[in-house]
Amino acid sequence: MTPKACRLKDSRTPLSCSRRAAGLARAAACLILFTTVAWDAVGASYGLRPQPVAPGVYVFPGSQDALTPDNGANIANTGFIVGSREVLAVEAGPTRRYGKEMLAAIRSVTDLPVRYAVITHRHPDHSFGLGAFREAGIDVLMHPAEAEGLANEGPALLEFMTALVGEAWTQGTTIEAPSETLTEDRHVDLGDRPVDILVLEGGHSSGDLVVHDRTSGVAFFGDLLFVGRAATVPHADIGVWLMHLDRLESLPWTTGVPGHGPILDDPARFADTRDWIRFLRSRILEAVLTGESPAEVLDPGVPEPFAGMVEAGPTFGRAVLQLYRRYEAMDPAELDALAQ
Amino acid sequence: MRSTMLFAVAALLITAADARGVDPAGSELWEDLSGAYLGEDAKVTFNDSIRLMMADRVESAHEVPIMVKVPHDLRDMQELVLLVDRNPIQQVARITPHRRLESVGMNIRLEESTPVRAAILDPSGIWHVATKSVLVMSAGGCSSPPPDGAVVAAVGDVNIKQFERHGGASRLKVRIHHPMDTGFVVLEDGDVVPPYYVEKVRIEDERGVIADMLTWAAMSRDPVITIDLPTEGQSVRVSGNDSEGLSFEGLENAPLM
Repeated sequence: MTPKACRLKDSRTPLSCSRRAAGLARAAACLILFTTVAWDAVGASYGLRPQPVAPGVYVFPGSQDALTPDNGANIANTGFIVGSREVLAVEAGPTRRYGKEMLAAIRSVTDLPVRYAVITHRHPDHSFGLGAFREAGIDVLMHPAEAEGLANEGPALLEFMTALVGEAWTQGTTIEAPSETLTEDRHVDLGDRPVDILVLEGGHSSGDLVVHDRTSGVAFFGDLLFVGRAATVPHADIGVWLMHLDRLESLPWTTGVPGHGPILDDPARFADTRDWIRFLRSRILEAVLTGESPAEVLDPGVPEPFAGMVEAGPTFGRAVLQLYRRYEAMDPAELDALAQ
Repeated sequence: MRSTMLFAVAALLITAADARGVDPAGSELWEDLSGAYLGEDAKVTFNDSIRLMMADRVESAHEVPIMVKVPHDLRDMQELVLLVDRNPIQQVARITPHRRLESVGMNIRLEESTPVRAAILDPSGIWHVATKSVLVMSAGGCSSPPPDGAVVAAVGDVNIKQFERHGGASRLKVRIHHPMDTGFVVLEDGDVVPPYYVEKVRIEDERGVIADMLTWAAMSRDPVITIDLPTEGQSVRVSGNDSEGLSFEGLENAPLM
């Protein structure tokens, strides 16, 4: 497959385009990513600096931008927790280069071995760096449905991401499987440091993992929580997602690390995700029930108070089409249940 | 005095129309496009009062929903033509209404970034054109296979829904299950998927024909056609045929949703 688009120079000339079936790749990738002009980031480095958020807990904050050649797809928050015996990493970042830099940055803080890497879900900005962790012999944990999704969609998405951010960043990145999958909550001890890995299925993705450090009260919420940025819904069941948010809000956490956006010390900003996905559900459900076209839903643009969120426009454009198609395929009973 | 004014306005309009208008999208293809599909001698005016609703930034180029809102003074239109400048299939559909239509929508393919046009022929023979320039983020809506191959229903299955609107008005939504193959998709083994698409659609109710449509494969797979009428029909019938001669038909007598 080739990521290059087949351009028609002039539609008056006959079209003989021998493009391979890259359409599938591109279209699938578009559900999650978005385009900018690609250029080569020669000598690119993510410049990762661990930011302490609690004793023994560090975050590498991602950029609040779109995927660009400037940020090399470093848009998600990642981090790690240091026990008295070993270290647990959260996420692997968007590329093998990122994964390697992340491991090096962890070593700048501690000599203890990294034992686990928890990948919260399949999306490229969180998972594509996992090869670096596997080759270092680290236990990489994921939900099995997400591992399967990564294996199926990964190659096309990697191709698409490379077109967006440039090969200088993605070079050496391969789609790898986790070493272990889990469908039930897991408790691990990093040495005087009990950590819970929670499994929350069928909300934002098929199986999101949340990491909760009992000692410090830091919780890594993955993409169940977007702060200041429009949450994406390609694999989402919004009703379940809202229930998961309630559960996360009630956990005994004091510092919350969202998948995207600034770190929280109280749950007020849960509204950023909650209100947005509620709005998406009700607006699109209304459109399906009254026969409105997605074109009519999109026409006025993103309404307040959501318009100011990062990536609100492109995310809205994608979400309307994704959810409209899904709701339209439901029978009246399912729609009724959704409307309750 | 009043008739002189009207005459002057009409003269201005025709003068502008003679040159087939100045394309607000500045497309170098407009001259040929309008000549080919609206006529070499077509009188054209660009008309902002026609609303062409669609996303201005498109990621799923195989299926782009559009909606044309017809202004009051053009609801006695003779024909509505949808065109895409930079598509290998530039002509999407030609709709001949037999009744006043308030809006027409469908889902279409876009090959790449392009102006999209809705051209409405008024009874005096002037084309009124709405233009929207669309940025296509992921090219290939006509020339790459659609994102998922599963077509659940049988080819030619028609699904009709009718929705109530204000003041006794209604919306008809028709989905025709069809691959709408463009003839521009090349598979991994080098084979070209031959063109296969819906060519003609007639929509009618107990009072007669509502609209006749000629369609091409620049409509998406499983095309959805939306039409707004000032009244409600009791029994709606959709019929047509595709490029292989398959006839199809759908009936809807169900109460309004």
